[in-house]
Amino acid sequence: MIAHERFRAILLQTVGIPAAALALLAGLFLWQLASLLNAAAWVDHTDQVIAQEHRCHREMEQLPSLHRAFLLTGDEWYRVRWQEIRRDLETDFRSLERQVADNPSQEHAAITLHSEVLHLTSLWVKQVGELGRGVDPRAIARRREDAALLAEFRAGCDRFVATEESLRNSRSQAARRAADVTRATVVISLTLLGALLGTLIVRQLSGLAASYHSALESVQSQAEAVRQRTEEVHKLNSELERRVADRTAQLRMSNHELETFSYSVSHDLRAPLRSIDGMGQALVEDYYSEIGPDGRMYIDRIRANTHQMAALIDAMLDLSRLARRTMQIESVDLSGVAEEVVADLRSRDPEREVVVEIAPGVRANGDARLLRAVLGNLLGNAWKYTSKSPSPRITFGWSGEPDMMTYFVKDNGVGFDMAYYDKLFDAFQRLHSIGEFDGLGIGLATVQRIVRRHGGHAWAEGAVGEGAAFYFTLGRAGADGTRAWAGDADPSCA
Amino acid sequence: MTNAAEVPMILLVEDNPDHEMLTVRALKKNGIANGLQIVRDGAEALDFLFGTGAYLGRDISVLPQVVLLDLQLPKLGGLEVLRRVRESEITRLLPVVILTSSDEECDMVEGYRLGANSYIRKPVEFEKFIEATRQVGLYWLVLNHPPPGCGRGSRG
Repeated sequence: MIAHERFRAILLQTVGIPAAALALLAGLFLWQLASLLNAAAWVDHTDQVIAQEHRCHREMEQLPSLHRAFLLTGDEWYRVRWQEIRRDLETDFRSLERQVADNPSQEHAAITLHSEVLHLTSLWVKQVGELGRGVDPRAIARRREDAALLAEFRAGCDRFVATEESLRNSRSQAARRAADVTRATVVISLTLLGALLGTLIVRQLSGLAASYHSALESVQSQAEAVRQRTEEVHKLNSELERRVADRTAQLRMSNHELETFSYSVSHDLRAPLRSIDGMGQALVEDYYSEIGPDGRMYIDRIRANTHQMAALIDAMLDLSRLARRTMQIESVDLSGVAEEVVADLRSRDPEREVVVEIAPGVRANGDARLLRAVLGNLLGNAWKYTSKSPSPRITFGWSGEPDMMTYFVKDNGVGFDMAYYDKLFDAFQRLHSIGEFDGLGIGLATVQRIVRRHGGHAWAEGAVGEGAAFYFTLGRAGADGTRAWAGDADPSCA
Repeated sequence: MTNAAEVPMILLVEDNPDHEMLTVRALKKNGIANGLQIVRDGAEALDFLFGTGAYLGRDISVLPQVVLLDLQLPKLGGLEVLRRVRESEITRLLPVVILTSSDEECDMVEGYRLGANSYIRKPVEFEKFIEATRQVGLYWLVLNHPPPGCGRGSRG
């Protein structure tokens, strides 16, 4: 990826280098241009000097004729004209001298010319003076006193001009050279600049392209990686779903098998028991005296055992049914259920006086029928095991926080030995002999099974002769009961 | 064997010979065994009621006052017998008491849904079975008014 810093560096390079090169070139051109203009200006200057010199010369050339004309005609007009031009000439010569001030030799030449003009002027003035004294003008003119000076002046002018012209030529050549140099410089530097810029741009662009390309590649490879992961996840998901579907099907099947099994059990196991019992009764009734008291006792024992077996079958079926039943979770009034269970117990043993305390307003989330079975078991046990106590007392209550309540049933009955705690909740394990207390010993296993299905668990505390307390929780609002259902196989129905 | 319809008739559908014997014994003890008719399976029950098969020629206007129906029967099951009985105009109103070992809730629900009049679970203990039989007999033969056509036409 292009880092921010690197991008700025690239940007600076891409913009900076051309800008610097351009600035350099601009400087170069300006300098060339300045020297070119300078050369041109010098040429111009020389032209001006020459022009000025010609002006002076022209003016100067008028003077001798005017002077001669004045001499010969005496016309004042010539004299005035001569003075005018003389004044102009003076001005012009001063200009010329100023113009060639940069060139000492030319300046000297100009001054010399000027002084020659001054000589000539004084000569002519002198001649005019003579004219005033009445000298014959033609005689003055014939003397040609100004001829030599004039010739020298003219030669001097020619020399001056020649010098200036050669100067002009050399300066003009210099200007041409400067122009050539400029042109060459322009071409070369533009070419160089072009090459430089081209290289720079190409390099930067290819660098950028490479960066973007690599960025794109990395993004693509990441996208590819993501796509692969997603595919994997999908595969795993569908694999998982397949497995779940399989397991569910298996569970349904085994559940169905269990149901069929229980169904046959409930009918086929009971039928012979009924026959045994009935036949036994018939035997006793019809052959009462023949079989005697011992015989009757044996038959009674036979029948008692069949009743026991029938009760066992019923209990086993109940236990397995509880495991299979789908739970219908709702808010259950446990206090109300406890009241009903106790009322039922009282109606069966109306002569027993048992103090029962039920905490009011206890509610829980769970399957109403199953929770009734739990309370039925626990309260029934408490009722049973306090039957020999002088002042039996049973309590149903709760403790803990509303989202994690512990419910309990306590009694002050015969209690149990904590040494055998491990067996307490096992199915069919009894801690008291049948002679002491009637029962099959599966009530607590049922309680544990139901409570586990609700996502909770049950435990107990007790001491021999001091009563017992049975606690249970129902897990997180009992909503996880179905979890326990799936894996929990009932060992007693195998 | 057809019966002269002076005594209220009970049709007992029971496949188990031991149970049959015990039921008869129980009914006898309660003095209501006179009109007892026994069939051994579901098919025989329908033959009897509709006068077909082995009972061809029976006067089918003479119907039992109550049918004691076990559910676990060979050939045709008890619930199927019940369904056929309720489907036919002849026997639609016939009182049927399901007398069975099963206390599976699904059986009970299905039985009532198919139109059984009563569902009684046979206890294992014979004493209790006798008592149950007595109560059933008393109720259906003495206390209950049978629909017209079932049992005796008029009672004296």
